[in-house]
Amino acid sequence: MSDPSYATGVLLKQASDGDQRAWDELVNRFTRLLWSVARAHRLDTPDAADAVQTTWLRLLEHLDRIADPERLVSWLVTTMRRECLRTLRRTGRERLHAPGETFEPPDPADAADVGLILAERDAMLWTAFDRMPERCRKLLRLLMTSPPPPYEAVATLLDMPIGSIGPTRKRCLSNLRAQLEQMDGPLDGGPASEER
Amino acid sequence: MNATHDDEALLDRLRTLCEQVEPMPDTVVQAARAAFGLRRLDAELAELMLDSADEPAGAVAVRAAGLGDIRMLSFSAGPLSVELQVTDRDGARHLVAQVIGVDVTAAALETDTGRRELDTDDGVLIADQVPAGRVRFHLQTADGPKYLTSWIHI
Repeated sequence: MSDPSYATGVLLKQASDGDQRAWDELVNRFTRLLWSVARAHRLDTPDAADAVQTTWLRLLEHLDRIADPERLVSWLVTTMRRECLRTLRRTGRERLHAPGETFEPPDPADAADVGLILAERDAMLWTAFDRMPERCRKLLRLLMTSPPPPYEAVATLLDMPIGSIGPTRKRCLSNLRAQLEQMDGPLDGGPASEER
Repeated sequence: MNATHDDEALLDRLRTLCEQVEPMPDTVVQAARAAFGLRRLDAELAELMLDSADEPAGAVAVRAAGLGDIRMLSFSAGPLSVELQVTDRDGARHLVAQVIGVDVTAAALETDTGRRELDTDDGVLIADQVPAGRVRFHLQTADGPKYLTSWIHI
């Protein structure tokens, strides 16, 4: 069994030598991050699943050619971003070609659906989050991934210096909090059920 | 409660919401694991060098009478290059590939769900009625080496 503490570079080498378990460990480690990247680009579930799969297929194609194995995560998110942009172009094209339809960015979860599955407070937070400026929404969508992605990968994705991720995160969260207060009085930072 | 704690708590709430609203299906991880079986060690990768669909709209737009847009792609590995044209026909894709630089003796088109053998007359490969999705070409050459084109979405 591959030790989960193994360095990414070791797993990459083992997978390259044909070790399915090392490959599985890489998949376990990074798929959720790739999923977040897809969602940050507003791909819907089928498109997100497809783009994640294409990214893993690209890694398989390049398993022996990754120049800097320790920076695999940056390679993966960069590849994933490219696949997301391709998907958006493709779905945009298909919609443009469909008669009588105009292109709008795909909206993964529309407010009515969200209202059905979330309590009112949560629905409000989700709506506020969804309306955030693109850069903030993307940054927070990535940072909330569990486990949190390396800042290096976030910086690569957002073309942002590593040093400004922390301050931007802080600013985005206070903007979100301010939005919520406008919508519904002061917000407690904890879960909806928690009394302050 | 301090500001850092508040930030963490808010991000935690967002994380929980994301998992509710946009859950990742288990099939995503299962498919990624299974992909390992698709690795081919005996074939050299022909990288995608050019895809008109990646260009800004209009830059490489090619139109043919009655066919609509033609998407042009180009793959390369060592002496090999593959020029591929993709057109839409009746809701499916029509593929014409010209193999240059090597003598191709057998070819197949692989999709997510299957594989079809293609004729190799004069290095021209034709695949009609291909459903939209991911594809790659397998090429066998007269003097030995096998090639695989990088996966593309058509």
